Amino acid sequence: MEKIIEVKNLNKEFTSKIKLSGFRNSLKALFKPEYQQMKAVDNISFSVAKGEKVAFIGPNGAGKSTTIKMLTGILYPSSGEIRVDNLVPWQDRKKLAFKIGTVFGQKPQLWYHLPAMDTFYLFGKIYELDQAKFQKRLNFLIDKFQVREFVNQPVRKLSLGQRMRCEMIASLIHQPKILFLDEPTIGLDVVAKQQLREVLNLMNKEEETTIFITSHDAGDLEKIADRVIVIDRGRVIFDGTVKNFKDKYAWYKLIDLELADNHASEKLNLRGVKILAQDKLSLKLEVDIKKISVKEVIDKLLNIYQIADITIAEMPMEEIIANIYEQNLQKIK
Amino acid sequence: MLKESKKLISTVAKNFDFVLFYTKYNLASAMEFRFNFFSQVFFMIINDTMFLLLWYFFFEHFGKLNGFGFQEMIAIWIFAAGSFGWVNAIFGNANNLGKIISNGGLDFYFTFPKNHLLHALVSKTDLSAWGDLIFALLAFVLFFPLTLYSCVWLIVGWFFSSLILLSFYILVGSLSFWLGRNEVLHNNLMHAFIAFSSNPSSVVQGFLKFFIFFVIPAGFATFLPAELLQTFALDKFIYVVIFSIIFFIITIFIYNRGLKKYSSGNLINIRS
Amino acid sequence: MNKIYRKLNKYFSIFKVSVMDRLAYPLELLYSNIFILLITLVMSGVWRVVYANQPDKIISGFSLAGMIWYVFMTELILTSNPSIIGEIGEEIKSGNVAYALAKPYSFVGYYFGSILGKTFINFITKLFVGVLVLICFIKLPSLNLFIIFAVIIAIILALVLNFLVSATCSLLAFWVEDVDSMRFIYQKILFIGGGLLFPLDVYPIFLQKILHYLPFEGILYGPARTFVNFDLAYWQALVLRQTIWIFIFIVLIKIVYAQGIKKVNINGG
Repeated sequence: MEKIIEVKNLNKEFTSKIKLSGFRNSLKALFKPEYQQMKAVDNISFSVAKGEKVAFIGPNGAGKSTTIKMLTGILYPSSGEIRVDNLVPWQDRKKLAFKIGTVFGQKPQLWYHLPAMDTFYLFGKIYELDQAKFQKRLNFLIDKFQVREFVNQPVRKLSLGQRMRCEMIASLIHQPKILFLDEPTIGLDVVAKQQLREVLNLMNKEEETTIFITSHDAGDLEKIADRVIVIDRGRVIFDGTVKNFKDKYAWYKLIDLELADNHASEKLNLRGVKILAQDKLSLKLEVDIKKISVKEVIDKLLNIYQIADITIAEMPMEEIIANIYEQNLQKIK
Repeated sequence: MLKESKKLISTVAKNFDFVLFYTKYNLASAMEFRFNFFSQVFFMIINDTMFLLLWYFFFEHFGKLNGFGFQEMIAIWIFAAGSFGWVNAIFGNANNLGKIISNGGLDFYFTFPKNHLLHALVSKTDLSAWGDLIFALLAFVLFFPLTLYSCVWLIVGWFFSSLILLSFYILVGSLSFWLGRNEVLHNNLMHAFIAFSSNPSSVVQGFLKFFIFFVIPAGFATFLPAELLQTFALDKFIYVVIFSIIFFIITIFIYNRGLKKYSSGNLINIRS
Repeated sequence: MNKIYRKLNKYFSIFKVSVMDRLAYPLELLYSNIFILLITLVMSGVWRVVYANQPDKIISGFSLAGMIWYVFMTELILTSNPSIIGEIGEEIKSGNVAYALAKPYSFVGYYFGSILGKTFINFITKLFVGVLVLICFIKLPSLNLFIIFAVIIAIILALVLNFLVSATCSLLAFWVEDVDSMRFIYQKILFIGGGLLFPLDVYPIFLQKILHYLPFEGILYGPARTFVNFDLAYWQALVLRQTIWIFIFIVLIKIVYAQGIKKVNINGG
């Protein structure tokens, strides 16, 4: 399959001035600065095929943003190779800019006080698109993303979900082959997140747009990605499909019970079920889903207890990743 | 009557304590980035000096205008920069009051057992304002005789001058209660006040004189105090004191009217 | 040819969008006239006193009316520009400058378009309102079609030059943290070097000579004087000087930016 992103032995080190507190030290730093090296990306390699949807996840400071900045040509590596659509990002930056779209969660592209339509036309000019083709493309996107109703209202009047859909259009106007998204769902509510994910999947399906998304959000992982790359402390510690990811690393679910009374018809003794906390009228269980299904456990619980309320929670994403890292650390040791 | 006064005095004292604490706290926080703090202070002193330099050239060329010369210009600047420094160093959020109101930010301060307006104003310090303060002090020390009278008037004059400026900030900020987000209007008005107080506008005659006293009260805030620095005149002194107190009262009254509107919840659209 | 057109059109489109953005709040445009009218009003009072008391110190060629127009013009050019150093400096400080690298336009080029768009609208509105108000009180300086043309050229060059000088200073934000101080120190240098509120002729001769070799004269004093007291020889020399400075700063910006963006790479921004 055609590889649209190829990363080989990528390394990135940053030099920063050591800044100690205090006035004297500030003066010293001015005249005789001391530096320290920080390795942000440590010998990573991976490749992405055309049309794939990759989630690039990891804890804060893991090197996600640095990697994506190198892929888009914003930063250049200390060593290693990158090829994006057969271009070297930091060398052919402007050429690459025409082929990629970017959505950086922290930096909106739409002009806030003007209708989104104005930004779209501006982008049409920025990407030097042919007038006729641009119009056609714009109409196509507006219909597909269902924004016609509000695309002529000032952006500040739109809801977050509507704004997000317009942001997506802006990043897709020039029909990029790859869409890079850096934490796009940050601060969005449930509905907005859903709309964004639908739209991404749509573009991928219809135009084979390769999607490369960094995120902290478990939902992004499950609802968009078909592949996951986990990075921690600058290193890749997992690279595989989402299914493999969950099978391998998400091994429990939590059940929180509120009881109507503290009467139990029998003692709870199931293989794979651990009692984490128990109170007169509440019970917290950890269910190892590799050993027993949640359905089985609930059936049993309904028999034993008088249940007032029940909450089932998945193993939190942070924990999954931390778990992966733990395993990684063990492996190193 | 006695009980009322005692209560008033204790409230003032408590608030004074609160303001002092917050100022020290803000200053300490600023010291975390010591270099940046000193840089801002230093450059503001340079900035003010350059501004004064502009007028030095002016008076060098034209000489005194109706008895108003460069020495008088410095006196004006002692109060313009001084009051600006005092107000923005202690009440660092004064310039942001309008924005705070239109963003619904006052709500945060309602939850505390302190006067919310006072709290909002002191919760920030403007670092460069400390530079204005030092500049004003330096200008005084370098260019004016240090007599008992001049030193006392410096403090007293600074107080009333700052009171007028602070009132003006609150007044302009209060506009947000009725107009919502109005950054441009706010900046134009504040800029006008500061420009008037730092130009030799006190030489103007006729109708304009009325303008710079009662439309933009720069006259009371800087010109009269500056004149009083050189020679005492009872009538000018009374004008300054009375005007600043009345202006302050009017401002608080207008602010409270706006606050009532705000609290009635009819300003939901402003907060969006 | 088409390709070059599209490349330039890009920045013109940014200019257009910036103009539209500014027009989104017409009331604000109206409010923005308050300061300039007030300051012109007050300074006219000051100048009235000057002209009444020191008739022998009058600057040659500047009548009282002319002086008031001078104040208006220099304030107009100054206040039409939004805070260039503030805007660009903040973008650099926050690291957002890096995002422009992933787009098919240059960072400085983008700001050139967007800031000049705002400046253009600010200038036009304040000029329009200001002239309408002032001609109720004082006579316009003597103008003809050529003078108007000359003034327009001088002003356009002045605004472009101001952008370039400010932008170059703002690029220092790659190395310096205190963007705020940069902002107002630049402003003061412009006040003094450009002759805000009173013409450079007021300064001692030695200072005038020095300022003649700096770009600031071409930003405020030059265009204002051309409007108030047109002189062909002076105007020609002015335009030449402005153009030379523009070229110098274009080169400077490219150099400083290249250095700065390298630093972002090394430190991660």
